[in-house]
Amino acid sequence: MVDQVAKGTAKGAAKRSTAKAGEPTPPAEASPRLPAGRHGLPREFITQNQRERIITAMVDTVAERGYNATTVAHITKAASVSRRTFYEHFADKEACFLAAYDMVADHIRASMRAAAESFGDWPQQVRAALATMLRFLSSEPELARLCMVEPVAAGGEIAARHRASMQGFVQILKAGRPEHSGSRPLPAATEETLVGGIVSLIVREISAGRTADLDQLLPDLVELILAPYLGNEEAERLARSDAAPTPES
Amino acid sequence: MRFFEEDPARARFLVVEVNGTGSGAQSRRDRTLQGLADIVDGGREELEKPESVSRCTAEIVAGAIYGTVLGRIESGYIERREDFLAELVYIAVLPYLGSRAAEDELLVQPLR
Repeated sequence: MVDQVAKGTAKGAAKRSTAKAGEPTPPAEASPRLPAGRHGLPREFITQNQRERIITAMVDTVAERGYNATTVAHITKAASVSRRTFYEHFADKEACFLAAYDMVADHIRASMRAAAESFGDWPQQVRAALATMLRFLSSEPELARLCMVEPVAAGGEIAARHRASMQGFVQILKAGRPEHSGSRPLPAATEETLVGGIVSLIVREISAGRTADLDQLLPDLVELILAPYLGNEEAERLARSDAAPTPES
Repeated sequence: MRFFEEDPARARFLVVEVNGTGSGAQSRRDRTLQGLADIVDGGREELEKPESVSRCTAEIVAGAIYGTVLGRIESGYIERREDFLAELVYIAVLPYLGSRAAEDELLVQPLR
């Protein structure tokens, strides 16, 4: 469904109009407004369609106004649904945001895991997972803002969900502890600190309007992440390696 | 860190609550982070080849420090007076002085 939401956003529309030969061809517009009056569509289809439209509207509205300034009225207007329909699907604005956030975060997490599992050695797993995340965020500015910038501003349950979600990358990094050859054990919070640095830099780049360039941060991020485990020289060598790593078959 | 320990409520306001405020306050937070990155970036002067580490590294380190402080304040570390300064210095020193020097920072006694 994350693909459908992405396609339903303004960026998704732009992407459809500029798709090149050989690239995956996006299907038609996701979740269009249903025809008025009697249409004989199954109830389940209608419900799913409404939910997708509401979530897509949430993504677009938050991208335009920010979470705190977004109201349920903005969302229902953008989704072309009534307030009653909105509350049939979601308890409140926060629940709607969390549904959108979970969908995007689950997609990123699954993509990162799949990318990491393509490699046998840990440093390349880290690089692949990070590259996958940066590539997704740089190609989907609205979703990048929704899942990286707005949770910090929203605070409360949303910020807590965001921190919990980041634990996925913390686990990938912790798998590198056996690679550490230093004289003393790494600090307990090394991984949380590194992930905090990554997130903070990404948030600042998005806020500064440089979302499309996020994937250019990869070498610097990989170098800093690998350094505590492999030492600075090896981290730099792996991070600056020109050759793209090849997944194991 | 000493300031935060002395006034946890103000620490929470300055580090956590600022994220839910308007763009003016967030701009000030970002300027503070840039100031921290400037200090960290001074570590390049310790290197034989300063250009071997990018400015971006300092910004990641500053973000790592901010993210850690944010998480620790939200988790109540400040109120419990649990010291984590050494871990912050570790991550700041690592890219410039290497693992050995960074690990040495972990042995430095807490401020109190």
